[in-house]
Amino acid sequence: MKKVVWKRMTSTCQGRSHLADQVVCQDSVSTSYARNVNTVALSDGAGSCSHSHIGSALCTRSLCSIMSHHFDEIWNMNPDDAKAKILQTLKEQLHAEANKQELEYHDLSATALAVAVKKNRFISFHVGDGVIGFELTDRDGKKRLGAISIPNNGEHCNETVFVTSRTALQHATFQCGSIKQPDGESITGFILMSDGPEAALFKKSDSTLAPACSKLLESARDLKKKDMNSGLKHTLEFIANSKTQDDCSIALMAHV
Amino acid sequence: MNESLVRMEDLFDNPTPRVPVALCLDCSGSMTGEPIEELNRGVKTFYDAVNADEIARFSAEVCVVTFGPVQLEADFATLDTRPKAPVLSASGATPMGEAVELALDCLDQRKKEYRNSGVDYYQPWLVLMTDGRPYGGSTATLDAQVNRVRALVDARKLTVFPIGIGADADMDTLQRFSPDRAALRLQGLNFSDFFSWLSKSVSRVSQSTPGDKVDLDVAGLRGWAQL
Repeated sequence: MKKVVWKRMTSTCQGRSHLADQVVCQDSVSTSYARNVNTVALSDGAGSCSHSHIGSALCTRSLCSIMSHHFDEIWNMNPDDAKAKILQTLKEQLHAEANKQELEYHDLSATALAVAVKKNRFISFHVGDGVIGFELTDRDGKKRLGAISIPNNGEHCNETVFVTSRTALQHATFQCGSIKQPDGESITGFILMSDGPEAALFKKSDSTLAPACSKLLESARDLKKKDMNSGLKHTLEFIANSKTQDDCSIALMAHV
Repeated sequence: MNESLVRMEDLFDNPTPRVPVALCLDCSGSMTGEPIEELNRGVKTFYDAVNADEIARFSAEVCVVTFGPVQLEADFATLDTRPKAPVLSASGATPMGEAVELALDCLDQRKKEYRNSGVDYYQPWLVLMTDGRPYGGSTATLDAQVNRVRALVDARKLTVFPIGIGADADMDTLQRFSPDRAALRLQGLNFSDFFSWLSKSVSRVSQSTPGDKVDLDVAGLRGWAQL
């Protein structure tokens, strides 16, 4: 039996404002394991676009496919070329879907966040709202959290950059690195969140992640899949009911 | 597992995103009597309405600059911390450029404070109301502030509402401040309906989520503006 090295968990929850307006949850999450690559992806559809839930679902599926099928190629690119390639692929997929469904391209506007891990290497891609965080564990087992990429939008809080935005490439971030760090520390977890849970899990003033992120990664390691799925769903409902009006989604990848 | 994996104390309590609103109000000598009384009633209506809104009272930050003498009557603060409207009195000339300069300087300072403390904010609003024409101030300052406002509006960094009060309001000067929208004239001294409309508009913005496009309630303008 193949040993599981990374556990991947995802969940979404409709926000209170969309519940009241009877608008579907526009956040989407996907996860995959293909070609020895573990990938988690998350996308938040634009609130002002009628079919952005289709766009966000397509973005997460496409991100999983691109990151796993082209991991080595992307890894070997310089960061600017890597993010341009990923973004261009997403744009092409969204154009094709818009044509197929006879929709406007911008109706599918959505953010894009993804992390992929292959053996000792990781790559990450991010456009728009949301946060990609990591957990680092030192030789003594002591853990600390950090942010790989943070929201990169305009000046005002209702300005958001999407994959479909003219300035998407300028705002996109791409990171790559080693799971095992030179000083003996290792990355033992990744957490991706949309701007809904970001309100409760990320402090903008100093770009720190809330202690809850450690608990979620620890739970992903310890709990059975069924219990973790249920627990993560209830966690998002708890955050959606207490901290934000927005849709909530989280994608986790925890080293076991 | 039928419960959350985290507790409330594991979560951060980020500050509510702010909607900064600068009221730049003509309180020159010509506003003496019924106009200043109606203006005070209108500003109080605005404060009360925003304060009664569960989200807007923590989100809207109001600054009040007046001219006659240019004065900062109230610096930016949310209405949960400063719920009472200032009481305005009328006197002096109409140095509109200097007043707009002070309002924009206060706005710049507040935005700096937001950024330093990691507080998100929506596009700021400037409400400029006058019953006359600029008088008693520097023409160069007025021109500079017109250009400053227009540059901010063009860059989508400011929404401006220039409002004329009564038949003597200099609509041409007000229009210079607004490159993308017609300056409006208040119906009579209908400040209360204007400020009710403004509070509802602020409330809609404060309840929007990132990416939402919040259109101006154009139909609502009929309640207070001469169209």
